[in-house]
Amino acid sequence: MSTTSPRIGGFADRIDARSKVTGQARYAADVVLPGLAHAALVGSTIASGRVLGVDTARAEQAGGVLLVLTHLNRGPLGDLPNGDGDGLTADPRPPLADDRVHYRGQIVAMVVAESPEEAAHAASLVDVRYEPAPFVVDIDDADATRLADAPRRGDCAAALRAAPVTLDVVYSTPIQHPCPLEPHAAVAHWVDHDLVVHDTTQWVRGDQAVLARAFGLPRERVRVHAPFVGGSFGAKVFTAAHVLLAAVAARRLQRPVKAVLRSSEVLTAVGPRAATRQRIQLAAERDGRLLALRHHTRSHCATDRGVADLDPFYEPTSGVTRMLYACPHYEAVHDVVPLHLAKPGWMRAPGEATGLWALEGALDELACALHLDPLALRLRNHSSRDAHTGKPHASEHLRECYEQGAERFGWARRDLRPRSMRDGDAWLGWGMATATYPGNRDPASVSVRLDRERGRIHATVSTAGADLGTGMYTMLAVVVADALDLPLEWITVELGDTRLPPCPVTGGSNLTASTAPAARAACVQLRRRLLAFRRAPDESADWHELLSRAGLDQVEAVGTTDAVHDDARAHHSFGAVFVEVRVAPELGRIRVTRVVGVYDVGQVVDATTTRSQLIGGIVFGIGQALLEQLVHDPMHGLPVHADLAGYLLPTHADVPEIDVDWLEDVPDLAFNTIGCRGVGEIGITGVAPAIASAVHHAIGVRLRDLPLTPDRLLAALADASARPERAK
Amino acid sequence: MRPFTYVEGVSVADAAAAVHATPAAMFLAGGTTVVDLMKLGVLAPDTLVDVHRLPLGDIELDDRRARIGACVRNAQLAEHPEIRARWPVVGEALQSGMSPQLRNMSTVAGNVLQRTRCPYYRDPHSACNKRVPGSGCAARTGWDRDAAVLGTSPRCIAVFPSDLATALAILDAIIYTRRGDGGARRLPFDGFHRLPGDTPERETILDHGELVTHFELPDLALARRSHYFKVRDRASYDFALAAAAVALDVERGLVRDARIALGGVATRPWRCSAAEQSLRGKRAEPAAFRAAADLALADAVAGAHNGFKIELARHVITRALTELAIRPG
Repeated sequence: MSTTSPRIGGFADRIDARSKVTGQARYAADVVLPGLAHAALVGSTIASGRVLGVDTARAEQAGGVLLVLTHLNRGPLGDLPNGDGDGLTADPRPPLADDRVHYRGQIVAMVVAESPEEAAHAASLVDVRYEPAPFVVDIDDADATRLADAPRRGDCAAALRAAPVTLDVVYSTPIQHPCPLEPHAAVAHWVDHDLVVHDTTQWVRGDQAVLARAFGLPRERVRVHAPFVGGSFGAKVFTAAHVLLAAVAARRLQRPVKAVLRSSEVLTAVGPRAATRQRIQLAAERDGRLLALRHHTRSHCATDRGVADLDPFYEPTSGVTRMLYACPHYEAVHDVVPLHLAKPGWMRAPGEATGLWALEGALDELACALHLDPLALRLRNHSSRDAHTGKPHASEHLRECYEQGAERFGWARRDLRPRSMRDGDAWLGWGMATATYPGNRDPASVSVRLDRERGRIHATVSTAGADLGTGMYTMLAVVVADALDLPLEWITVELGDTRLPPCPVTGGSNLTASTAPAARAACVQLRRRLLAFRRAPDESADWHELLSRAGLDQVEAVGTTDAVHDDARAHHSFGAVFVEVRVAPELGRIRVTRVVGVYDVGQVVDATTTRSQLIGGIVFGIGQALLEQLVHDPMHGLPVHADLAGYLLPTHADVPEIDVDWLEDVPDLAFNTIGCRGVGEIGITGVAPAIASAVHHAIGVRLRDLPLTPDRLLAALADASARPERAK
Repeated sequence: MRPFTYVEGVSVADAAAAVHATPAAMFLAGGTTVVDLMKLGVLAPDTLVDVHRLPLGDIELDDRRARIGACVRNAQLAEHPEIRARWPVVGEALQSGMSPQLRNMSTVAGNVLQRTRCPYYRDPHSACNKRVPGSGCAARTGWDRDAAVLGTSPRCIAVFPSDLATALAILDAIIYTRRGDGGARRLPFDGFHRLPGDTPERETILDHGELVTHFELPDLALARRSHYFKVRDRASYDFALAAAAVALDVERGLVRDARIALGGVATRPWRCSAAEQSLRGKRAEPAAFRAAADLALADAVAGAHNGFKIELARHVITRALTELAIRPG
C-alpha cells in the first residue's frame, strides 16, 4: 500500500471504489431495518381530470397489506417550501392533496405491505374511478405564455434587417430524462418522534427542510442520510412525493417504510428535461463576425401551477447564448407551454445542453453558408468577457482549448466540403462545437478532524453534501492529503448526512468549487494550531507527535466557503469538442467513431474523477444527440417505452474511444483559493451540435431535431433529394 | 404482480399436462419475457410451470440436421461452433439481439415465442386487442413509429420482435411439441406464427398446454452461405427497426436459390417468397437485389410514423444480399 500523499491535480485511486465493487456501499434501497414495511405506488391512468372515487377494499383485504393511503385518508401535511435554501419539491402541494390529476402517472394512492410483492399486488387492486378532462402533451399543440424576463442588448431587429448575411433556423430538443440507473428510493422511520430518512437525494438539507415543514418539526429533528447515490444528473434535487408518503406511512404504522420507484415510475413521475423549440436568427458580416443574435425559445412546463408561479424552473436556454460570443445586438424571448406532464426539472447542464444545440448548430450553418471553417468562425467571434454583462472572464483559455483540441483531432486536414470523406460504403464527417458551463460556488462547510489512533494519525473529513457517484469522496480526500501530507489510506470521508457540516445541493457543478476550498481552509487552521507545537521552525510536521505534545487525542477544524461575490469578473469553464461520425445514409445510421474534448476547468483537483466526469458528460451528449427521447401518446398522455429497454441510453457499442484532456496551470484563483471549477456538466455541452455538424459534413444533410434517429435521417435525405440545398 | 402457484416440471409430459389442466397456467423457461410482463400486469397466470430444468437443453448434430432443445440458452446456441459454420444466420441473428445477460438467461423456445414490444400491449391500461380481445388498438392512433408495415390487420399492427425467428424462417426449421393430452406434433416453422387478423391474441398455432420441446434444422447447403443484417436505433441491445435473414446459392455469378425473411417490420417472421423467386437465374448483384427488395415490400402499409421502415427494409434486404454475395467462400 502506498503511503505517499497524492497531490492536487494528480491521478488518485477512488477511495470508495472497493466498497462499491464489493457491495459494501449502502444505498438507500439497500437499507433494511427491523419491522420494515414496503410501499408500492398507484399512478393515475388519466392525464388530466379528477379522481371520483377510490375503492381500496380489495387492496386492504389482500395478503400482507398494512395501509392504503389516498387523498381521502392521507392526513394533514404542512405546505411545502419551494425556494432555494429551503428545499424544493416538484409540486408545492403535498402529495395526495386533493382529487385533481395533472398528468398520467401522478401518484393517486400508495399501498404499504409486509413485502414488496404484496404491496405491488395490492396496488394493482386499488380501483380508482376518474372523470377525465381534456389534456395536451405535445409542445407544438398548446398555447404559450411569454416570460417577462427577456434579456436584450442593442437593437436586434434593426441589425437583423440591415445585415449582409442572415440566418433564421429552428432547432428542437425532445423531452429527455436524466434516468439515473439507481431508481429513486426512500426508507423513512420515526425514532422518538424524530424523523429519519434514507433517501436518494442530491441534497440532504433540502430534504430535511421539506420534511420539517411538511411534518411541522424543527429542522434538527429530521435527519436525512444519503451516503451513496447511484447517479442523478439533476433528477434527485426535488424532494419527491414518495419520500413524503413513506414518512406519513411510517408514522401511521409506527414502522419503517421503504418506497422504491420502478424505472417506469422514475421516467413518468420524476421531472424530465423540458422539450424545447428554439428559433435562432443570426446576422453577420461576410467575414463571419456576428452582428445580431435573436433566440426565441418555447419550452414546456407543468399545467398545475400559474405561469406567474413558474419559478424556480424553466429550461434556461438563453443563459449560454447571451454570454458566449461577441455580438453587439442580442435578444432572448422565452415562451412556456403548459403540458399535462410531470413538472420538468434539471438535467445535466440545463440550458447549456439545449441552448448550445441551437446556437452551435446555427453557427455551423453560418460557417457553411460563408464557406468558412467552423473553428475559424468561432475564433472570429471569440469573447474574452461575458458578452452580455461585459464582465471580463477572470480566467479564460478557450482559444487554447480550440488549438489543442484541433491539434489532437487533426482538424487542419478537414476539407470544408460535405461528402469529402468516404470509407467503404459509409461517409465520414468531422464536426466541432464550443463547450461551456458557468463556474458555480455556494456556501459550504467542511470539518477535518485528526485523531491519534494506534500510534498513527487518522483524518476524518465531513460535510453534508452528497456524492452522486462522481468522485466527491476521493476529491475531498485528495485535498486533505495534499494539505496535510497524508496518504489517502489515513483519511476517511463522511458525506450525505444532515448532521454533518452544512453543504449546498450537489448541483450546477458546484460542489468541488464549494467544498475543496473549505476543506483546505480547515486544514490550514489545523496546521497553524499544530505547528505551534514544533520545537524548531524547520522541524518536520509529524501530526501524531504534535498532537501528543499538545496533550490532545483529537483536534478538529471547520473550514467554510462563501457564496460568489465577484461583481467585477465572470467565471466560466470552456472547452472545445471535436467529433468524427460514420454515416450510412440509406440505413439512416449515424455512429460516432471519435471524440476529442479539451477543457479549461481551472485547477483540476483529482485527475481520475475529472477524466471520468468529462468522458461521462460526452457519453451523455452522445445519448442526447442520437438516442434519447421520451415520447407521449397524444391520445392518452402516457409515456411510451417508459423503461430502460425503450428509453435508449448509449451502450458501450455506441461509445467510441473518447480522448479528453484539460489545460494545465490555469487555476481560477479569483474564484476560490484552489482555483477549481466543477466538471460535472461541461462534458455534455457542445457534443450534440458537434455530432450534427459532423453529420452535415459527412453527407451534406442538416438535421435540426434531436435525437438524430434513422427515421429522421431518412426523411431529411428524402427531403434533400426532393429539394437540393441551395448555396447562399 | 398477482400471486401465483409455482410448479417445477418433473417431465415433459407432466409439465404439458399441468398447464393443460389449468386454463390460466403458463410455462416458465428463462423468465425474461413472462416475468417481465407479469410485473407489468400484462400477464397474470395463476400457475407457472417451470420447464427450464427439463432435459431440453442439448444441441445434437449429425450430417442431416441439428436438433436444438427448447431450453437451450440463446447464448449457448449463438456460440456453438458447428451451428455457426453450418447455419451462420442463426448465430448472427442471436448476437445482434439482447444483452449478454439476457442471452445467458433466455431460451431458444422463449425467444421464438417472445411477445411484441408494442408499448400499448405492455401498458395494461391501454386499448390492445392482443392483450384484451375487443378492447381496440391504441397503437393505430398513437405512437406507431416501431409498428409493423407488413401483415397488419385493422385490429393489430404490433411488430414481432424475435431476431432468431427471422433466421429460422429461412431454414426450413421444424418445431416439435408435446401436447397436454399426451400427443406430439411436428410443425413446420412456416405457418407456426399466425397473422393477427381478427384474433391478434392468438400468436401461434400452439394449443394451451402444448410445450415446444425441440427445433430441428435440416442440413441445407445454402444455409452455409447465410447472413443476418439488422438496423436498430442503438448499436447494441435493441430491437430491429428492420432486419433481414438471407441465404444465397450462387453458381457462376447466377442465383440458383435464395432465401429472404424480414424482421422488425412485420407482425410475424416474414418470409419473402416472391422476392426469392424473382432472384432465381438472375446475376447476384445489387440491381437484382434491389428489384427483389421492392417485391418484398410491395404490400407494405405504413401508419403515421413508421413509413420510413418500408424504404429502410428495402435497403436492408439489398444490403444483406450484397454483403452475402461478396462474402468469400
